[in-house]
Amino acid sequence: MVVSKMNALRWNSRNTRGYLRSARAAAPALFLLTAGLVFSTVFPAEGSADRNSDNLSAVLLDLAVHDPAEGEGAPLRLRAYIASILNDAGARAETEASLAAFLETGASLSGKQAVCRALRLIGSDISLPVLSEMLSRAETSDMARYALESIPGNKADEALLSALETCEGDLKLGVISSLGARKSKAAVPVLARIARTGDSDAAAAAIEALGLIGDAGAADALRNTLGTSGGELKAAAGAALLACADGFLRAGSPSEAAGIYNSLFLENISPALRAAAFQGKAAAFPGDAPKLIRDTLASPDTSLHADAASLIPRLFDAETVGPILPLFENLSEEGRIPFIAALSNFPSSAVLAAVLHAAGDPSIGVRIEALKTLEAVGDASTVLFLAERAAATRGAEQTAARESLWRLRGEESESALFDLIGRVEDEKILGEIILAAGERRLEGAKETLVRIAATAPSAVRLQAARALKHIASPADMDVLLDLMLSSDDAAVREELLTTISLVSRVIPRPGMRSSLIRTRLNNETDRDRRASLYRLLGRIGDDASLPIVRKALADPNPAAAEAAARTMFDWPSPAARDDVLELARTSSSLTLRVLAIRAFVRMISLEPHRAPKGAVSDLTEAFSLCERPEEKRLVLGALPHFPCAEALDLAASLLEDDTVRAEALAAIDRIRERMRIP
Amino acid sequence: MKRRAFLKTASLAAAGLAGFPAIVPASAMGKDGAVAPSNRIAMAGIGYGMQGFPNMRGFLEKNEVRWVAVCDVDDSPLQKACDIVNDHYGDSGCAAYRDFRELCLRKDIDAVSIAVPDHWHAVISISCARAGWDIYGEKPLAHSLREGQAVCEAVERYGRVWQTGSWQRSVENFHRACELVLNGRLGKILSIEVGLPSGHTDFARTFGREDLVPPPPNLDYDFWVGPAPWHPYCKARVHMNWRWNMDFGGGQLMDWVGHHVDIAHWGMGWDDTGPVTVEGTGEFPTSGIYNSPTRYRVTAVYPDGTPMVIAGGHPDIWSGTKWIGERGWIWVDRGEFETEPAGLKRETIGPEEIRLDRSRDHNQNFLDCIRSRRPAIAPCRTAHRSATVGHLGVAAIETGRKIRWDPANETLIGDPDAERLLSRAYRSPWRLPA
Repeated sequence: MVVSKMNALRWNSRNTRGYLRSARAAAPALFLLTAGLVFSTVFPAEGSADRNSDNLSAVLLDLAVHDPAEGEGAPLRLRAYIASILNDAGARAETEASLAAFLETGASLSGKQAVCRALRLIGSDISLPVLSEMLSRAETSDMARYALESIPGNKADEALLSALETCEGDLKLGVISSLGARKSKAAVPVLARIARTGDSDAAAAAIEALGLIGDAGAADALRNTLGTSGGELKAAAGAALLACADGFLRAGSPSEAAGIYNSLFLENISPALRAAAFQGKAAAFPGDAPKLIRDTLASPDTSLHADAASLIPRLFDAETVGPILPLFENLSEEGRIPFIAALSNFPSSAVLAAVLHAAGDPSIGVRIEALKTLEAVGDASTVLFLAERAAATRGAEQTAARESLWRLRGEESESALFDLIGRVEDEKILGEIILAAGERRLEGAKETLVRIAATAPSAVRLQAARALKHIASPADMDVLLDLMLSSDDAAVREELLTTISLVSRVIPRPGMRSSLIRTRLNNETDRDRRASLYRLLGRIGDDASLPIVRKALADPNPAAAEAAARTMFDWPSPAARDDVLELARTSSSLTLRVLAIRAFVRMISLEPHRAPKGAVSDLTEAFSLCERPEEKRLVLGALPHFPCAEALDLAASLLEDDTVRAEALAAIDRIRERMRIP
Repeated sequence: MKRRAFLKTASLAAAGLAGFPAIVPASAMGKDGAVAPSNRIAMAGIGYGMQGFPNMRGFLEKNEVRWVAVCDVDDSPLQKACDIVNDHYGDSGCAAYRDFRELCLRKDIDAVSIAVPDHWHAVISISCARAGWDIYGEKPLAHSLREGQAVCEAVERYGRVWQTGSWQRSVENFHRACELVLNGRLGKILSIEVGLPSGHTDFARTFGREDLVPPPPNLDYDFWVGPAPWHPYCKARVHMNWRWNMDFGGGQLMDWVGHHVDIAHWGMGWDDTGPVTVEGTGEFPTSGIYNSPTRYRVTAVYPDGTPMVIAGGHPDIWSGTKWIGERGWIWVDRGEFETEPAGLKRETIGPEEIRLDRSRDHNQNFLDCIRSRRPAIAPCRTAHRSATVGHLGVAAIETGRKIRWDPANETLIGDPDAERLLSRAYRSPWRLPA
């Protein structure tokens, strides 16, 4: 298949001008042709009583002089018109006649293409003569097929076959492709002949078409081609023949299919074709397939091990899979991984033993797959093994062990997990078990986890704090707050902070999510604890808490005031925007001023749909407060989100600033782009 | 991996010239967490107009992947893609192709990421399946329903692993919502609402650039148009915004059906079935080069009688997927997950209940499945089923009819007109491979 880069037939606005001239001249005649057909043109608009109306003659007049530069307006009107007459046989016939007549005029090519695409839906024998005639003309051949390919009946096939005698080059390839798409049995002898010709492009097209037709005649032709061709044509013939075989199989002719699969398997044209033929062989006779799979897996030829293993789920059952388990030892790594994966479908004690054995394989890929498979074939006895493996490994192997532990099936597995929380002493393994209890939302373990989070060694406490976020409810927030405020471990406090903020989200009324924390703040005097509570308020982001944080900004204790300021900076909604701006203006600490500017810019960006002028005004103010280039760049980065003249002015005013000139230029480009300024 | 055989040949040749190297770094042997080169999955990318870049970057992060080739009909993104790969590896080993057919002749590739316009999906996907490559392909699966069937058949025929870019399946909130629905937390499902975007989105910021001009020299525009009907070049109809012209894409409906309808199907256990009736309405532009619906509403009724409304531009249908049942509702969207009653979303999936396959990294899931030969989280047939709803919706809008569909046999019932809209003739010399 060769794509012609110099194909002058790819019409464009310029080379349709000649057609336009002739079409304009023909327009009155066209009008006369179609004037008798006046139908309301409607798309099925949504419940609208006031439908758009149009008539065919008006649409065709526009299409006759249609220039591609005019866009899709007229073609869409024709589509709407076609939809409006679709259920009226008489109107369809009359419309088709008008469209066929249109195609005989000197109308523009883009207009004719629109008409051909309308005929895709309503074309019939009426338009066949003109479409047939268009097939052999370079500028109309493709568009004729857009209609012809969907017209039912032998006459359309005959038209395409007849065109084969006159078409050459790309046109011929197009016609061949349409015959294939139509599954035209009548075309098989001709296509068979073309497939054997020296014209390799046409031969390749004919081979593909024969593969799509897929009947016995097509398969015979492809067998012949396979025997006489080489290189890419042979590969194409093999692929097409394979498609025929699949068709035979679907049609209930497994013997015919198997013959093809066997010959393609032996022919070994390419590894992909051989593997596909192997798969076909197994599908053709499922009764014999288990032996085929066994023999392949036992073979020293490893090239099909993975393909054979991947077929196990389809061809084996819980009983028959047992005898093939020892074949694992014979397999290459590429075969072992899918072999173990395939066992997921057959949980049994024998399979479990095999998978546990594979979990000790020297290949990390095999070990990971075995750990994944344990999710499906493991049971209560596997819980400790998975926890141990998760504790002892890292990366993908650890993830596989953890996820299987989290998703292991059966009530007994959960009981085993629960029991192990009280029995396991190794901190890492216990940590994995606790993590799993959380992921599995073992509510019965909540009290135990709270106790562990308060008293256990640090690493285990951290896992318990993490697990509680899945199990705890708003009713537990008091307990969790006690845990957080009493913890002497920063990592555990941080984890509990996350846990409490997540649990608070379950409270349906946003204004109530922080109420408990606000109450605690009223009674808490310890500076560090108050700081933690402020941070929690920020994390929850309940706007009802803002007045409290605001008040804390004026706390005489500098540490408490700073904690409140940092809470403001983290505030997840723009409600704190004015507060952080004030901090950016007034804070005596450079660090806090910088953080305030960053928070202010972030909050402005949280409202992308604000009127651009207002947002740019805020950004201008932010810019005036910037003391370092880093923050100036931040402001310039946000500016293009609000494209307007003021944004351009601000960016342009910074072109003289050496420290941010590049960013200012980039901002100007992006703003102009968004404002569609060329 | 196939690269192993390639490397074996290469190393033998090298041995003849220079002998066995004195020092083999541990990383080359797969120690210290590195993946031995012979075990890496050799990947190529086809299509860098938009999604090809993020897809490729996601795979480049994986040590187990070696990106060996890039392909695009536009030299500009092609060069950029090639540079990204070479910068990443610090060498110049990435090959660049303009023609995917030349790429398909390579014997050392295991998998490919395809991110081309919809009208190219089927031809390139089937060619890659025939080359024996596993495929990460974008949604919608194909530009027409019959093409989608052909892609599925080819992928199954060649035993390929297919991952669709329906990545929401690899995100926690979608997974959890689907498990809750599937396990009956809402009781009987009464209806499903799927909200998709409306209008046309100016991805390429080329709206208005509709003047017909010569294509830029870096773009092989004839090849870009490929099997679609010919349209003269204009900037607003090519990269990214092709989607809004039905000859190249399928509008918002077809762009998004592979996300939110896919999730709706997943939650209902409908990955291998489809609706029995589909009807719909749409509003179209009246001028300009785009002709896909800007506002639409499609109702598909499934075999158990459950209706699914898929709408864009209808405020009564929330963006995302919403299952409405006897006991409440579950709504999920990107970054959103709400239930009624609210406590529902924290309910546990019990150890004896249905668990959906779990993936938290869509690219990694594909790579894992290449090795294990398990079906990926968003396999080909599943993508075809979600796309089918869109294709039937488009046909229903176009014909103005209620379309009756047999999901088991994937045939229309008594509607030869609509059947004509389920396939498309190709511009010569292109053809659908068998």
